[in-house]
Formats: sequence, structure tokens, C-alpha cells
Amino acid sequence: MQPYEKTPRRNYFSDPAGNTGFNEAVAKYLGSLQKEIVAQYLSPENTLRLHHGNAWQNPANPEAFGNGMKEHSSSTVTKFQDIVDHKLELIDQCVQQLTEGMHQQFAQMLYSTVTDACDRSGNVVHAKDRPLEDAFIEMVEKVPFSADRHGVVRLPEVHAHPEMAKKMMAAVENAPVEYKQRLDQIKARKSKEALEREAERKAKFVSYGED
Amino acid sequence: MRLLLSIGCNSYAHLGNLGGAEADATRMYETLIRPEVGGYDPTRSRLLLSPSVAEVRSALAEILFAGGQIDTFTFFFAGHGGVRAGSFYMCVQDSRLDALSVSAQSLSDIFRSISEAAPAQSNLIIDACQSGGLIADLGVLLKHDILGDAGTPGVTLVATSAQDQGSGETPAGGIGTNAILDCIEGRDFVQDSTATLDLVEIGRRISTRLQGSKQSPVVWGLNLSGPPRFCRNPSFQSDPARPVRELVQAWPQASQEAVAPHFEKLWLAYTSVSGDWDPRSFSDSVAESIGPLADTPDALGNVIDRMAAAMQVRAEQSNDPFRSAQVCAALLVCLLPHLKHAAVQQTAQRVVNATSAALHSASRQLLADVQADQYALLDSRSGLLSDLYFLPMRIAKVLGWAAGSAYLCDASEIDSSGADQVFVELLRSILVLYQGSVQTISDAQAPYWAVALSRAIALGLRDEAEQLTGLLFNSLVTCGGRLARADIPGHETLPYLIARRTGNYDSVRDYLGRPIETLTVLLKSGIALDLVDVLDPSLWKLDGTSFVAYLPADFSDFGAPTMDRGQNLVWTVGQDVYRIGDLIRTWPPEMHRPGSGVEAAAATLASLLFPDRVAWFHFDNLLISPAASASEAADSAFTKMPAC
Repeated sequence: MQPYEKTPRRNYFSDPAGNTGFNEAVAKYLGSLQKEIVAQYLSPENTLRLHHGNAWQNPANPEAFGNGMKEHSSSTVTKFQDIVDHKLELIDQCVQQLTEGMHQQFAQMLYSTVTDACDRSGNVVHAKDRPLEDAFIEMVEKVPFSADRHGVVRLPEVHAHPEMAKKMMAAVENAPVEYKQRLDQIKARKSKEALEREAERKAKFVSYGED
Repeated sequence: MRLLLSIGCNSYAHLGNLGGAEADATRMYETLIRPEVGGYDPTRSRLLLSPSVAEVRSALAEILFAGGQIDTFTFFFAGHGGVRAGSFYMCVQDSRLDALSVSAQSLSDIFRSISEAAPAQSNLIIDACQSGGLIADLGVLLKHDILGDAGTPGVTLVATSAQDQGSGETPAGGIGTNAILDCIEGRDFVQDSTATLDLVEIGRRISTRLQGSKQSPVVWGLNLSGPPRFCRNPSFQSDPARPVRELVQAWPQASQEAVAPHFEKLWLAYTSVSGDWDPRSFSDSVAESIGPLADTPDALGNVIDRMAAAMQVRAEQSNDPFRSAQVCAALLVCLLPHLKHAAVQQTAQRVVNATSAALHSASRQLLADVQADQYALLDSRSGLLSDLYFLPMRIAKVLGWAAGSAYLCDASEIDSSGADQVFVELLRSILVLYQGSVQTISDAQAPYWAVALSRAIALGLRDEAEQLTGLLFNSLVTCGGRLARADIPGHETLPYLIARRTGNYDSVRDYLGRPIETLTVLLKSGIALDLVDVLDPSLWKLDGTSFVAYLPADFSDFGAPTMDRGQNLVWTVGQDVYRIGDLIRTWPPEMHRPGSGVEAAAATLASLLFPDRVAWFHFDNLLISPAASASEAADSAFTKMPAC
């Protein structure tokens, strides 16, 4: 009998349940690697998980969010012969190619989102045609510091190309003492402002920290 | 009571007329009401020629619900057919294509009526264009709440054209109808082992006969109890004047009562064989269903005969060519506890023959596929990476089953030279095309290596057997004897492969086989091939590896989930075994062997279906001459070795 929904290619001793289990394990493994990548940029506490819809909206702050869903995809190519030759290193190669692709796209998305937000708010510092340490100090001046609910001030993180980061650090370290004093003053002032803002925020509650 | 409703429609008010449908229905009716052929009751059976849909419904109601227990109901239709929204309709005189649901007879309504009237066996024959389209309906109709719970022990359906085909007509009648009548009237041979025929058997025969023609019969159904009921078997030696009714009534009735509580489970087992099939759950369902028939071997044999015929047809829908053989094998293994009865042995022999033929056919197909496409063994459904684990498993299975095909010939009436030739060519092809994947990955490969290696050795394929043993032994040494457990869950196979790659097995320790049977198989192969000089120098690399052999007390429970009456022999390299000779000395001199070729075949198949047991007797048969030399070599090695 020739059923008409038969797939043209015959499969010998296929193990669908085993395959499903294997593929789920691959997805789980890639997922855990992706989490590690994201954690390099964002703390898990600052990550929101979407269950419905395709974008966030904050009615209290319509300017926030608004970028919607961005799809990341990555692919890898495996040769049949490599499978037949039982090259176990294929697992590492495939995983590396997939995670590198995802990492690159995630980083690109993150920085373009930050760039868009900075462009919109005007929070942009140009380093061209002036000393790097001056641009750095202007940058620190422009970035608002934040304090957490326990009163711990978090200093801003600097993400830069390794070469640029090296130059920037060298410029700051080699700057005169007055520069460093000024930088410390800015940090102290901005930390104080951050704590004040946090206190103001808490004061908006009817009561805070009381049982 | 045996009732027939035969419908043929030539004249259509809204469709093109046909020329031979009425003649087909008339021929079928007149043949089947003959007492010595079909034995259908002429007073209650009906022949309808170009009826209206109302007349069809009225006739159905009269036949199925006028009273009296219906033993067999057969429905025949020749005419136009049509498919709408996944449902199949039989068109009659007043049917309109734009209103099939109200003007044509739907197949699903017939099934509901059958389910309600619950004849012991129902046969439906449809010779209509697009009648293959009823397959779409069957997915719905097969639900056990329609059939399984309704107390309907058997429904069989044969449709003689595929969905996109017109039903061929010739001046002598419809091609499908002619083929069926040829079987009924003895112009074509179906089988000669039972006095009556089942429609499934006829369906299988005409499927084979019409293969390659434009007609692609659809055969579907399962008769779970009682004798074949469709018609007399013209090829069986019995009194030709004896009415079919008597032949059917003479059949032991025990099967229906015993099997009835398991209808639902068996229907589910039946539907599973063409899809994702699990040999253990299938086998458990069948074994549980036939268990109550242990004291009525005739009835037990009959049930397995019926199942084998129906399940094989269903299994042929799978896209794994080995499925049909595996399903037959599972049925055979279920007979192991009952082989002491002569009647069961006869059934077992028939199932061995069927398994052997199916296995040979699948092996030939595989060989052709591998020769045409060197990647034919890669699984199109897998994510490819998973084949790093499953391809070596598949290679073991392929070689094991192909070698099993040759072993089965020994127990059947089929010459084994063809099966051996296919096995040899397959083994050589795999050693060339898939050498990299000839790997020991899981201990579940052990039974397949055992059957393949022992057959290769028995056939004198010394080079191939040595190469296979060497590749596997090297693979085992490379991973330090750390094979995945036979029952490793699918989601642990990736961590296992990563462990194999890195050499760090900490995260998968719970999923390693300990002790393993694979090493026992390779050492037994090494003994039979006299590879002492090759394997002994590397044995230290497996220092600490425990290996095992389970020798059953007898083979009656060799298909059971667990066996507890045999010997579980275990050795450890570096404690009990330092050289192959140590295994030779300590292997039990006597072990239980299968009592017959059929039992050996069933035990071999049990090891292939349930790979946590090995058919060691295949190696013992090989020990006669090579073992003597290996043993002598071992003895002489010991005499030369200083005490240590």
C-alpha cells in the first residue's frame, strides 16, 4: 500500500523521543549560554520578561521603552560528512557559532538602543578635537548616578572598545592631580544627588521601611 | 447472522454516469450470498442498484437494527466517491457535489452505525474514485471512543483507489472489485492455513498485486477476535460444500471473551504501529491481552495470526521500512511463553516466516538506499547534531536487524543465502561509508553487535568481523569503557557526548552503564576470532571496567521487561580478567539453549527489540572450533606466565 502522505525520504530506526530530548538539551544549553551573555550587560534584576504582546508601554512615562520586539537569529552549517565521521568537536563549533552570532546581535541591539536614547535626550558627549580626559569628565557629569533602596550608590559603567578603554584609562590616570580632585568632587556631588533622589522617591510612599 | 449490503451506482442525476458499478455490486452480492463462498443471509442482505441516498440509509437501518445478533456485516460500494472537508462520501443517484453532506452517504455515519449495532466483525469495501480519501476520515474514526469502547471487536476496510485517482473500470468490471473477487473465488492465492479469509488478508494480497498500477488500495482494520469471517478460503483443504457459517461457528470462541476487555488498548497499539512506535508498550499491551488465552492455544494463535495480518498492513504506512518486521517480531516475542503448545508453534512459525520476509525486504531496501545515497542513514527528522549520538546507535541496529534477517531464515522456510548476501553487502558498505560512526556509544548497542558479529563470524567473514571488532574495541578503549546506560534519557545524550569530547564524565556519572555488556560481546567476538594477541595488550586500558552477561534459565520470559530466573554473571577487568583467556576459563560450560529454531528466532528478535538482553547462544555456537584453539592459547599463556 502506498499512503499518499508518506514522506519521500525513508528514515531507518529513527528515535523521535530521543531526538526531541537531545534537541531540548541543545536549546537549554544554548539558553544558559545566552543568559550568561546577557548577564554581562544587564543584571537579572533589570531584565523584564515579556509574556504577552510585543512591546512594553509605561503609561506613567510614555517616553520610556517604545522600541518593540527585536528578533535575533543565528545559524550554523554542519556537513553531513562531519556527522558521519563522528566529529564530536562539531558540538563546540556549532554552539560557539550560534552563541557568537547571538552575542553580536544582542550587543548591537543594546548599544543602538542606548545610542538612540542618548540621541533623543541629547545626552551625547563628543571627544573629537579635544583631550580625552575632558570628554570623560563631561560624560561623568552628564550621566545621572543611581542609588539603590539600601542607600548604595552605583557608579555608571563604561562600555568601550578595548583600545578606546585603554586610552581613556591612560588619559584619566595621567591627568594632573587637580583633574582627579575635580573628578572626585563630581562623583561625590552626584552620589549625594543620587541619595537625595532616592530619599525623595521613598518619601512618596505613605510610609517606607516601617512594619 | 451474516449480512451484506451491496450498492452499485451507474445512474447519477447530477454527476456523470458510470458503466460497471451496478455489475460489480451484483457480482459481489451474488458471490458472497453463496453458502459455500460467503454464506451471507440472502433474506436479510440487500443489493441496491443506483439507489437514492434515502434508500441507502433505510437499507442500512433495516440491516443493522432490525434485530438479532449480527456476526458479520459486509458493506460494498461501487460508484463515485468524493472528499469534502476531510470526510469521505459515497455518491448515489441523487447526490450533488455541492451538497455532499445531505445528498451522499458519509463513511463516518456508517462507522457510527456499525459502532452502535456492534457486529462481531464488519467489512467495508469501497471501489470508488477518491476512495483513498477516506484515510483522512480514519484518523478521526479510529479514536477509541468511537470504536474501542463500543464493543466492536473488528472493523476492516479496503478501498481500491487512492485519493487523487479515479477507480479504474475495465469491460470485465472495476479493477479493484475484480482483484477482490479473484481472491474470494480462488483465482488468486491468499493463504492456505485457515478455512476462512479475513478482508485484511485479501486487502494485503490485492495491494501487492496492484502495486505499480494506478490503483493503490487502502487497507485498514483489525479483527481482534474469532476466526477470519469475510469469506471461505478457496485455497484451504476443506469440504467445499460446507457452509462458511459452519466454519466460522466451529472456531474456538474463547478469544472474543478473553480479548474483549483489551479492545481499547489493542486499538491504540494498532494505531501506533505506523507512527512513533514503542516496542515495549506495544508488546506489553499484546502480551496482557493474550495472557488470558494461555490455556486455549488455538484461540491464542488465532488472535496473533489476526493481529499479524492487520498490524503488518498498518506498519507498511510507516516511513521506516523495518517497522513491519519489528511489529511482526514483537508479536512473535509475545508467543515465547506459550511455545510449548503445538498450535502456538504453528502460529509462531507463520509469524517467523512473515518477519523473515519483511526483514529481508527492509534490508534490501536499506542496502539500495545506502548504495544510492551515502547519507541515507542520517535521520531527516533530527537536528543533525543529535545524529552524533543516534547515528552510531542506528548503525548498530541496522547491522543487528540485517544479521537477524539471516538468522531468521534458519528458522523459517526461506533460503538464507539472499539475506546473508544483503547482510554482507550492508556490512561492507557501512565499514567503508560509515566507518567513523562505527562507535560504541551506548550499552544498548550490545545485542546488535552480538547478532551482527556472530553472524559475520559464522559466515566466515573474518576480515569484516575483525575490522568491526577492532573499531568497536578501539572506541570502547578511547572512552575508557564509559558507555551511556541503555536507558539514558534523551535529554542526557548531549551532556554524555560533551563528556565524551572533554573526557570529564562527572556530570553524567548516573547515566553511565556499569557493568556493560558491550565489552562482553567484544571479548566473545575476540575469542571466536582468536584475537588474543590483538586485544590482550590493550585490555589494561579498560582496567576497572565491569562487564556482564545475563544467561536466562530458559527463553520463555526472554521478552519480559525483567527476567529473574537466570544467571547475572559479572567480571571486572583488573580483578577477574586480565586477558581474554580469563573469560574463557570462567564462562559457564553449560547454558540453556533455545529448544527450537522458532524459539531461537524469537529470542534473537527479543534482544533486538529490547536491547537490555543479549542472545549469547549465537556465540556459543561459534565456540566449537575457534574456542578450542583460543582456550589452548590461553592455557599455554598461563603455563608460561610466572605466578603473580
